[in-house]
Amino acid sequence: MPRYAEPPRRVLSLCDGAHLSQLVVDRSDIGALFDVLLSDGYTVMGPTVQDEAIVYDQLDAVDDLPIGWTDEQDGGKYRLLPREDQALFGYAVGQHSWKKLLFPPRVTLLQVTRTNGSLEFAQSEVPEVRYAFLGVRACELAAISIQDRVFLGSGQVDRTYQTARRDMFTVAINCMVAGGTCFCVSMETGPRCTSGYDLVLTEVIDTDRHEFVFEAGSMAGEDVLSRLHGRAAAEPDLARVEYIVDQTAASMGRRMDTTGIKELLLENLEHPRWDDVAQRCLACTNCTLVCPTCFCSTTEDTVTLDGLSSTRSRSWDSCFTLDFSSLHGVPIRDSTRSRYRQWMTHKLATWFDQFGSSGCVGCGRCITWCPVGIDITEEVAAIRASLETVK
Amino acid sequence: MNLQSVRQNSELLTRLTNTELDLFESLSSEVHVVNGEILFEEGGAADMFYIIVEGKVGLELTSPGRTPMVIQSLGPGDLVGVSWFFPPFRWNWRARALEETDLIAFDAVEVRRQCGLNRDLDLEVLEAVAEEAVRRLHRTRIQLLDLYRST
Amino acid sequence: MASIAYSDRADATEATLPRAFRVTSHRAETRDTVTLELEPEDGTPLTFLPGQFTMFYVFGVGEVPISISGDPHHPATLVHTVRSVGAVTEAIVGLSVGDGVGIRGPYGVGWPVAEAEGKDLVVVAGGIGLAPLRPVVLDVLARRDRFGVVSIIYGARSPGDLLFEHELHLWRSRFDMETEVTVDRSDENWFGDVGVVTGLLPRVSFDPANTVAMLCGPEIMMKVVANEMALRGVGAENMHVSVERNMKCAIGFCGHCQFGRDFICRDGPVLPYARVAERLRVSQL
Repeated sequence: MPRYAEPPRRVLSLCDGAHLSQLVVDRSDIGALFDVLLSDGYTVMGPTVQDEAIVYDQLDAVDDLPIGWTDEQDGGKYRLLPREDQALFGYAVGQHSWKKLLFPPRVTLLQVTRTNGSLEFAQSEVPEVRYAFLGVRACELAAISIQDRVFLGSGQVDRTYQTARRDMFTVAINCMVAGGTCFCVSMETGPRCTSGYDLVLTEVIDTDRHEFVFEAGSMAGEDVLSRLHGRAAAEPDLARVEYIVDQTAASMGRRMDTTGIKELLLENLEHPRWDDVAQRCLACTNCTLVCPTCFCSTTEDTVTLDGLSSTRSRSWDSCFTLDFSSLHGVPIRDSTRSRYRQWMTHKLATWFDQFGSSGCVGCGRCITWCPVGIDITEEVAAIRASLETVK
Repeated sequence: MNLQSVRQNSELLTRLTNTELDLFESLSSEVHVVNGEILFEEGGAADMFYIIVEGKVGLELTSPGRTPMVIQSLGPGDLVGVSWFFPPFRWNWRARALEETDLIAFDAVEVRRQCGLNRDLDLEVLEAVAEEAVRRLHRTRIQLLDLYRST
Repeated sequence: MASIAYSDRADATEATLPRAFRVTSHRAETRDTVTLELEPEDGTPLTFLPGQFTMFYVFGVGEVPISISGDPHHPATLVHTVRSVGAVTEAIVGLSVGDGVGIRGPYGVGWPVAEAEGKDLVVVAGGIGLAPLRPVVLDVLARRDRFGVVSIIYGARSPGDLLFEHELHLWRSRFDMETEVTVDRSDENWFGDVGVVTGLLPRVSFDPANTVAMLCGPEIMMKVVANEMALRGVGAENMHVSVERNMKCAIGFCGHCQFGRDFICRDGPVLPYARVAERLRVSQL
């Protein structure tokens, strides 16, 4: 069972055995959620349709959500399809993950000024943000928890991540749809949200009703819930939530056998399968861009034209690039084979040694967004199968 | 002279039985050379071989127009020269003392003759010399890698 | 003399902000390597442990990890011995006295000098690898009575590539330490040893069952020496190597320096050989 980092303190305050409020909110009243969050000064970020995909962006109102849309995903394939109903959250995940907000693709770190050969260094301001994330799936809660471990829990603390994370309000969602590349069940990260949120909702949609079953997960969540209009949740509502979650769990697009996976990979670093995948992999870095837990970055110093000052910024980087492992100008991981191996063994094996859990949450993004459809679950299965035949 | 004191540092002498060591002793003599003194020349007949007791000997090759340079140095316990054991029994290198050096010199011709008579002795000496040659090959290969150069 | 106090880990704010330092001395060691002495503009000495490194920043060029090569008992002057191997190091080597630079650190896990107390110590350095080991030697010499037999083996490409020549002479003239130096290729004026560093191992006396070995140099060299020492009975857990990898942040975030499970900036650069022996055998790890 993967272990997750501690959620931010204010979320913990209610979780230890206290009764958590539940509320059923009708579709016609759901707009109030936006009103409350916006009036509390949050910038609401959530799913919206853009360029024929569902991405995460700033939302102003309910209508910004991908109402009536779903997605069809497979290896190297993503497309939006209209639903038969008008569900607000009837899809899986797109190419964006919440890391784009907590660990932004580009951040200014510091400024250097040069006066008479002498240097002065000043830390850049971290923008104050107050995000409300609307629509966080269970796999994404797990991913955030994993990145908490990376950026907050391993000795050093990342200021940008800490600032964004501190005041964040999380509205999680129990998925009603399993994506074609999803395997959160295998990774034990979902589809049910169990912790790390202020509110969790499950969308219930039939011909005769359209409601949201809310459950609070923190004091802040309780507070927001108390300002929404709805009816108390009854047994049938909770049973329906369980049913939806079970249905989603039963229709996962992929599965991965994680038995002894760390040893399976680390004891087979010269397995021929790595050569096999290297033939297909383009080292395009898509998988690392879309992966919600990938955290590699690089720093860049940019000098002004007058040569008197310089800015250091941090940007996303990928272990798939040739110069990622460059030492004295020569890459250590020269081949695509070695780089794919690095990514997969880090994600599924050495991550355990570093952070106490798997680095993979089973969201399937790397499979969907790989232009040649490389499937991490298939790669693991292939190595496992080849060894079993040998036995 | 007593080889027991040198024995612990020498791979070759360690392999010999006490009887064989006595034989080697009877074929040995002490040699002292000063800095720069030549032990044997390139191309010369390998009639003697040496084990260093104290000091330093360098192996070098000469070539017209080039100052000879040491390509490998040997120290206490090392066998100077392996070519004495293999036909055509001629030196491929020049051996020159790099400082005041004490050595034990052995009559290579007689040792070879004794090895021809005694199969066990032959095998032991062969193993010791071959092992030394392999070790030097390995080290030379690492030297060839030129590990400390900038890329 | 007391052992050095471990400098506290910087918090988030300080960890990524360089401090202004000024070059106070520039000495060419070889044709491509210089030793720089630097002093902090704010006067606060950068205390460090042997084996640690800083991120050295040159305005307009960039930042690279450089081992500290100075005396840990005299941290007021920061000493770095740098070899020109790329754009940034080329710029560092070209710095002049008075130039301002940025330094952040120290970072990393250093050499286990305390572990060697009461035992024999063998230090084996290859090429620029002597730079991160020099602080060990200086620390040990300052507290010589705490250690058993101390030996230094140093291999360089050629006599012209020897570092710290003056100091090497001083070390070689000491009676309480054995210093052996060899070169891969000699010149007309070299009467010292010629050949790989492993050839010098039989010359130094140490008790394999009670020895700590510290190795630094090209990976192949460290592997070969470790194998040779293992054959002599030194346990893999008592040998320590310094691994080098690409670094951007030096604080465990950017991911560049990963070597298997270890972040070299934070779990290394010094690692027990027992921990990394297998990984060193995997190509392009």
